[in-house]
Amino acid sequence: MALRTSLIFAILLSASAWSKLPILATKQDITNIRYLTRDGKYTYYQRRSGDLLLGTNFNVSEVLKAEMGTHYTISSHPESEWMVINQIKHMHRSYDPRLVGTLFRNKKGQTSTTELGVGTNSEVHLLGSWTSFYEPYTRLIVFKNLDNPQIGFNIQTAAKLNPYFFPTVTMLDEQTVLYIDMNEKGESALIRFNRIDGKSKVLFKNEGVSRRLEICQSKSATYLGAFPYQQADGAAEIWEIDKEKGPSKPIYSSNMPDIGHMICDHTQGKIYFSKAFKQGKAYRHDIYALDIKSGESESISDFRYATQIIDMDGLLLIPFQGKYYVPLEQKQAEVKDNLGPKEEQL
Amino acid sequence: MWQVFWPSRYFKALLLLPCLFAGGEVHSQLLEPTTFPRQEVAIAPDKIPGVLFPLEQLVTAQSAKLNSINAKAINNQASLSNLDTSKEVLLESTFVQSLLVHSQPAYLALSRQAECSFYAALENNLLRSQEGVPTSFPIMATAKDKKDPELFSIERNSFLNIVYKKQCASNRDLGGLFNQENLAKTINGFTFAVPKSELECNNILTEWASNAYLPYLCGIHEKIEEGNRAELQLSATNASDLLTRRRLGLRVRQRDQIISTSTLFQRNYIGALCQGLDDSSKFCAPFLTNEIWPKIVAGEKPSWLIDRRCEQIIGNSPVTGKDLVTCAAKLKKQPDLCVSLGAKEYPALFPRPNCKELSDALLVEKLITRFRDCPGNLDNGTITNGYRLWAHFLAKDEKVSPVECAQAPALAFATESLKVDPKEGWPLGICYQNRATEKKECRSYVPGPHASSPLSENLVIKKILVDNYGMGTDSECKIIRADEYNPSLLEYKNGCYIVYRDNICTLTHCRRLIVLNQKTIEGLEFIGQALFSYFPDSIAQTKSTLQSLLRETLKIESREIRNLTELTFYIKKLKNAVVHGVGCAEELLPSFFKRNYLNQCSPLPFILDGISDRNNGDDVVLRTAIDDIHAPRIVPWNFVFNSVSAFQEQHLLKTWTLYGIKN
Repeated sequence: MALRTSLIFAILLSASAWSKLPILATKQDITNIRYLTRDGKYTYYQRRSGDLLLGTNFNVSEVLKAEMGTHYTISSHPESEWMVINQIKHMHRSYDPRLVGTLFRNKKGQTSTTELGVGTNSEVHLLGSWTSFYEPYTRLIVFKNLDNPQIGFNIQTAAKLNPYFFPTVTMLDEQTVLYIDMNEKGESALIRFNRIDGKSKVLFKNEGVSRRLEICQSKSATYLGAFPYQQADGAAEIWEIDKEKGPSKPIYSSNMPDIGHMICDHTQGKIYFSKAFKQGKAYRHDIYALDIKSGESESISDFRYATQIIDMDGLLLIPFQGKYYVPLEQKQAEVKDNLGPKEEQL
Repeated sequence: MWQVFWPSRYFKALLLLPCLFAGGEVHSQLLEPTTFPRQEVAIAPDKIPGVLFPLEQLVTAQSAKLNSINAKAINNQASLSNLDTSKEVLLESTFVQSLLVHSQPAYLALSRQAECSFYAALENNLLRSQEGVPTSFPIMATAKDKKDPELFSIERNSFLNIVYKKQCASNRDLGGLFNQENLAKTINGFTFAVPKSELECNNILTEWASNAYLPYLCGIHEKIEEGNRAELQLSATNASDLLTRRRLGLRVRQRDQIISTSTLFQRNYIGALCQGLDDSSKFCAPFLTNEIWPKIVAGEKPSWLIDRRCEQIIGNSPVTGKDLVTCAAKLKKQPDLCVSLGAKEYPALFPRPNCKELSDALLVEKLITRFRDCPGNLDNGTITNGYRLWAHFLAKDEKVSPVECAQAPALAFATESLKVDPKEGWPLGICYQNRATEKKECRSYVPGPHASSPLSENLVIKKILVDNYGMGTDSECKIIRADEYNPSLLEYKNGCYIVYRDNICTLTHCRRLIVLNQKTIEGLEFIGQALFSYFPDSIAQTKSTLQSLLRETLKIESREIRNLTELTFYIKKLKNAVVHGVGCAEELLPSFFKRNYLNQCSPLPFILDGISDRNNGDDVVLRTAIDDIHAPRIVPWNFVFNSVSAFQEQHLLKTWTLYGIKN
């Protein structure tokens, strides 16, 4: 038990001067951590030297090795056995959001990796059995089956007008994909791609070019959000999507310039997103939880400038000024600060 | 207010009815009781049903009367030698009435200020009769050796000579200050105050109204307008009509002389002043508006803020003053015009801010942007930001076409970087087998075309092909897009073509086909990646960063900026100072970039060059390295602070990356 008290990667919660929300703090420098499983079993972190390491109970092992300055990002799903690692070399010497990395598949808790391709914006789908990533120079969305990476397909996007366009993508099943594309006029559209016949169908087209579309998926439904690019004005809407007909009646609409970045699969019946409100003459933003049934939304942060939210293995985190904050709404009891019994072997 | 309200010619005619038909004084200083009896009026006054009488008929009647007077006067030419100038020399009253009907209300207001102002207005072609600007006109004067005044016709200059001998002698001196030799000095001697409030504006206008120089300044404005009209007429005039062409050409030359001796701001200010003499809002509106467009037209703000944009809207390069007015009106009326303008030719983050947002940003921005770039074709924000800072501090003014828009920043960066570090200053090279030495050699190159730079891709490839593939030294290598290249066409049968096969060709992502006389050249290898540090990534790294390059080439001072107070001081108080830095795109532009993973950060260089007062005074003007140079955005300071804080956490040295720079 003495060993269990010297936890290397325990999650601590401490208060901040800015906010009532607790800061996510770890014994390992949080800025090095790339993925932390909710049960505290596995921690992926990187060194300044460019190595990616896996920390488990009382053990540290190397997953990937690269030169100094290499940066890693990891996407996964709480129910997935796979991690998708993006190894980005030269992040500190190539200042462009299109910078692509090498993508690897890694079984959660293991050190071996398989290269999947080159791209950016990796996402996992269908409970982590598939992944997609985007190649901005060829404008291809690449899909790979994580169990067998040889199985896969590509979708060619049209977005030529915006060199920094990154489509949001979701797989409804192994044959059907919903994604956002942009036409030559700059108008965004929700498109359904059928893998069997290779055909695409526009389910919804945005009026004008002033709003960004994004898709998000819960266990029971898929949602489409339209959020203004420009913060001085604009209106936001969220619809539930019918996979055949596209969006129906909006479940949320606002005349405020919400930022969006929806998370739909964290809590049943709720969508989390960055919503605008007025303070004096200016718009401010905080993270809100939208109750899908009642249409009412409630603030879960108090920063006034909260514009992003991430779901890391089922733990909602609000990044703000280089720190990560845990929304009060989450049951803190579920955030384990112990690692459980030592595993026999990795 | 002193201004006279003259909304229309017919309204003026209404007001002049008593003068027209009762022979009353319109210009009390000038008129004697008319020598023409009332019964000579074509329409009997007792038959006029008041103001309901058709105004056109009134004007026609007056016109007929003046024609009749002119016809009589022309047979009795006056000169200095045949007039008794000791007696009164007066403008004929119907002619004066005609001036009142046909002159611009603003100039009538001006001429009413004083008798000398009236004569100065006449001298400077500001007053018009029914036949336009009068060069001769009827007067009532007394001939030598006669007792009673009679009707004469007199040349304008002769008339003014007589008048200026008796009164308004200072007008002669003023006229001399505005001749060709003295014009520049005279105009530069004026202070053209920019009003900040309506009260201040009205005070400025009142002061100008009583300024004896004003008719001469308005004369300058009229000459410019006349030159503009003449230029249009000239293009439509038959080449064989030499006399007309010569006359119009003279007016255009006079206009050009004025333009060459004055600034756009001076010309536009004078124009607004002369137009606004009868209606203060015409003069004040551009200065008091919270929009940039009228301020640019008025010359209060520099035209380069929009001229590149206007070149695309108008389809004319460079844009003329008239184009600028048309363009500004479009930008004001169509806010969405700015969203996608130039997006295809100069790729950058899309959508761009609309014209309203852009106006707010341009009102307070400081960065000098007399060029174009295209970040979408240049995949390193360090180069984009570096070039923008160089262009600002060196006040670069360059014309950059879409095909050169990525190359110009890269070439400038490579040139400066190689000066500081000749060995490793620029990493991109083309390697080939030297057929003479049979050794592999590499030459530094910068992607894209340039007419003369030895580093440019077209000239480096030409050199290699001339030395190794028998290409003629008089031939050139042309860079074209794959969709333009059609080898079956005759024009592509001979010569050297560098074909860009990708839709987006950037410094590090570009597939090429090199063709010489229809043969594909193999064996050229493009090596290197455009990787540069913005700030030092290690303690030992003292050079090869943009920060060190800017310091060495621009001799600038830099200072860390940590809060909005420091930022406001730096931008508002220090001339030329701007702020630059690197932050995470996800925090800087959250409406465009989503954070999906823990510690995700897309480092994005940016420049801050203004503080906007439109909300709570905590919004800043932001140009990220992926935004179009002419499309600054307004974001809350806190977005910037968040983004720099987030990047600091991921930086290899945990460096704070926001600095103010000034030289």
